[in-house]
Amino acid sequence: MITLNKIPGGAFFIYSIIICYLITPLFSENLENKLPYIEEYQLDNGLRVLIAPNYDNPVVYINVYINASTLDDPVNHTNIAEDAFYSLDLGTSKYPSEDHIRDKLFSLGSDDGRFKWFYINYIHGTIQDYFLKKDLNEGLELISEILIHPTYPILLKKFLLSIVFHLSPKTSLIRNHNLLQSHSLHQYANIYKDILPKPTSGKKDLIKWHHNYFRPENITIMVSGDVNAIYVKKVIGKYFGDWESTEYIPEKRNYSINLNDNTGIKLRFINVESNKDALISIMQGAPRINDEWLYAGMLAHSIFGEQGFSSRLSNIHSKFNFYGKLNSSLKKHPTIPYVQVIGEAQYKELSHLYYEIQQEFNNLSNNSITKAELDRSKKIRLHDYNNRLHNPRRLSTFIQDNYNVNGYSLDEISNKWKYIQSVTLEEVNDAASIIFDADNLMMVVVGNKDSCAIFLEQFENVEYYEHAEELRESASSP
Amino acid sequence: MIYKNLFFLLYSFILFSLSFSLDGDVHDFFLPNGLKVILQERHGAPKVAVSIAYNVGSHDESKEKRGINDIVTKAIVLEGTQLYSNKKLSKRRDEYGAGYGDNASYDLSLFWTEIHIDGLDFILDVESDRMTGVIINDDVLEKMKERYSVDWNEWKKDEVGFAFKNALDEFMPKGHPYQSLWPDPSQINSLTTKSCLSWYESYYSPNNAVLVIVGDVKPIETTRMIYSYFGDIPSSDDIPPDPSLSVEGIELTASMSKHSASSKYFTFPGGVIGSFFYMPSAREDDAVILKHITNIIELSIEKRDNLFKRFSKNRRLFINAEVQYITRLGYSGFFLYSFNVFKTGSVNKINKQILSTLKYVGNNGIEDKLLKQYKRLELLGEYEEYYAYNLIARRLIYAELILGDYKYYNRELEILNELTNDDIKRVVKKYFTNDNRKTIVISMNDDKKSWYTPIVSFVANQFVLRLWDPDK
Repeated sequence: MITLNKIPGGAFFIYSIIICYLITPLFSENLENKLPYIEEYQLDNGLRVLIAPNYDNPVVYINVYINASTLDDPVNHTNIAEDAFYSLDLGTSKYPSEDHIRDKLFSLGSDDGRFKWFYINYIHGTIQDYFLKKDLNEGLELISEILIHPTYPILLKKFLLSIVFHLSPKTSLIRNHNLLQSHSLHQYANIYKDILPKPTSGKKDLIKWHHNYFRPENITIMVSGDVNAIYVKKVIGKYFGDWESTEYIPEKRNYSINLNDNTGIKLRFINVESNKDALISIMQGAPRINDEWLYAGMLAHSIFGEQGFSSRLSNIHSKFNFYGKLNSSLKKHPTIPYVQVIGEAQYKELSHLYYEIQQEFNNLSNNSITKAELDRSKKIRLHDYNNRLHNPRRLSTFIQDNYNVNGYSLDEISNKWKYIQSVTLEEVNDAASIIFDADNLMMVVVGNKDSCAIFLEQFENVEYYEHAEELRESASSP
Repeated sequence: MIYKNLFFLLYSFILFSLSFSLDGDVHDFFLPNGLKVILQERHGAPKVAVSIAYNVGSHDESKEKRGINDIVTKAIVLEGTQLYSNKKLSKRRDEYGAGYGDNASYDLSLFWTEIHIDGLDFILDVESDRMTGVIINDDVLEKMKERYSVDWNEWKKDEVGFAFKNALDEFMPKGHPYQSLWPDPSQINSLTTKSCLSWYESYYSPNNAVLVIVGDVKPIETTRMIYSYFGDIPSSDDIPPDPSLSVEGIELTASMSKHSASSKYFTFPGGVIGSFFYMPSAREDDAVILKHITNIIELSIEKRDNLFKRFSKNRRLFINAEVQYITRLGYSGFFLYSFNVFKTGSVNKINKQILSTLKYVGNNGIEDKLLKQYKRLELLGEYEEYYAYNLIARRLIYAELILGDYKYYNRELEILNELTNDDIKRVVKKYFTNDNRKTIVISMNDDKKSWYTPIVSFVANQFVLRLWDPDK
């Protein structure tokens, strides 16, 4: 038998090096392309919970996903989803006023008495924030109060704001970016939003909307960070376990996309006399979440308009010395996905900008994407995924979006890397030809009518709006 | 035999330990050409922050060369280098999803990148090329001058911001190296290619730089890369010495700077009254305490708590406020700006109330509840920034060049942990004095005032804004 005192010094040295070499990989962890461990379970009332431990710091990140959005506004009551959501933190049964809630948040380490992320958009609502590990219980308690027991108090502030809205000149409260977006979504899929600000909804309506849409089946809570899963389950059970769901589940509103292969080029123009430059939005179709060509479509869009300085769209922008903004985004909505290009141009350059974008759409429709572009695009996408895995905030956003918007299981999310890698050059070129159709698109331009006259002359049937005009009932149809 | 075995066991343990990268470990060394390197291992995420800072800022500019450092850093950032044109550099950064930026201040010039660990080699190549291969010729200089002029004209349209700049310039003690960061374009136009090249060659050299790398690095391999990219760069032998940044001997008296400006963000008439106090060099512990006091006042303003109510006399003197602490190697500065709508406010009353509140804090300290909340807020912020390697790298650079040693990079947190009301009272009493104060008054949108403005002001300030705080 070999014992320690029988090993000569040199051999011991070599032995120790070998041991180190063999043991080191056991302790090092390669997180590349690999989701961290996430525990998943559901309460009896339907509320889903995800727990992702990360022990780097004694801190937790709570991310609440609410599957209700501005698209759930009733036909005759637009903006109520926003009103109901943004009034959640004005008072609850336990915290009777906004000040009480702000005080609580300050005591938990907030710098402004607000949750770090608290918003609703046309996909979902969300509440997110960091808490010290020891404050997990209080953080979840506060969130449960806001979600389950809001009182929707009638406030003087709201009353004063409604007076201010009514007394203000109609055009002063409208920001052109919102104007562009509201018209683009309305033109593309009949999504209706009030152009002029309205007083907030009445208490009765808000409570009714809350009752219908803020329900446990619509909620996913993800807790990541320095957590003990058993403790998290106990606390979530305590604050959310008794939340009973109402029987009536409103059906999601259906929106149909107005753009198809025979639409041609639809242009809506909004006259804003005071605009220094023209704003342009071009909407095109995009793959739905369940489409087989989803990943090919994402990569095709990335090659066209990924943020940064090296996409094809950036090349176009460089021809205008990077004047104003020119960017593109792909929205992966389950039912109304779209690609949107938004640009800002001097009036004299508007036709030129439109021509350049059209040319690029034509190129993309004709198998112009190269292997080098595809490889680069895959690399960018995979780096983006990898960069999200280590930070509790970024991880929880990544998981929640895929889990809820995309309807993916955790296994499916971990396959995203593989799906990206497997996209072929043929697939990405096919996807580009579907998305970037130069002959079928919907466009909104905001600017001074006289200054845009030359640009407008090249289109037939331009749909005209005035600055503060409300959206008309029937949007452009195919 | 037992000792021999113990020795080998110990040796084996050390080797074993070195095989692991330990989170938070910091290593530092100098290259033979004088480049100081600081490496911090952070293995929470597979990325790395590379920051390089040069010990040069606007405080090094003589009267004839105002703005030269800004022009040289702009050339470095916007024109690229011989190996990396700006376009090539942007493409490569995009591939890695890198974050990046630069900052040229009074005291130092900094370039930073945060990138996936696979991109470390590439960024070291870029930064080493920036130390030798920057293109500065007549064409580039003309472009930079033109750009400066465009930026300047655009900036001038923000009349309120411009009034602040002018006031700060007025507050600079005459003859002190801390003169304006943004000189008039006519001064920029007098710069020559030769002087810019000479500036670049003198100051942007390895023996005037600190390279900080924070992230998922293997120290031995990274050190080898650093030697390979930076080892052959010659050092400079004509770096001018730092000027004296002391304010000793310079007369500091209470004074007032008055301006009238149109605001493009604010549609009503209104006003800003700001109190500026000279503060000690960032190297003094008192400066750190003063920075914490500034943050505590900021939290109090957000909370609308008793301290803010005292400053503003329950929002009767002004409806909102902001504070700012400007940290510098020479002297620093504390700013408290108050805001009003439909009126500018009473300078005398506001000045008196601010001093009286600070005197109160000097005698009684800060409410325990507020102090405790501030400590919790900072602690949470510290944890949140755990993966922001770029911020950690910048903190190391700041400690090395401004505080004098990178080992102080956690000093703010250490002082905060020990911070008591006794420290706060001592520091407030020492620095917030009337003799140490300057006042700026900006009256906004005077052209929008009419005969009924005083009536609207009375109704708004005495009734509406008593009941409604739009900034809360």
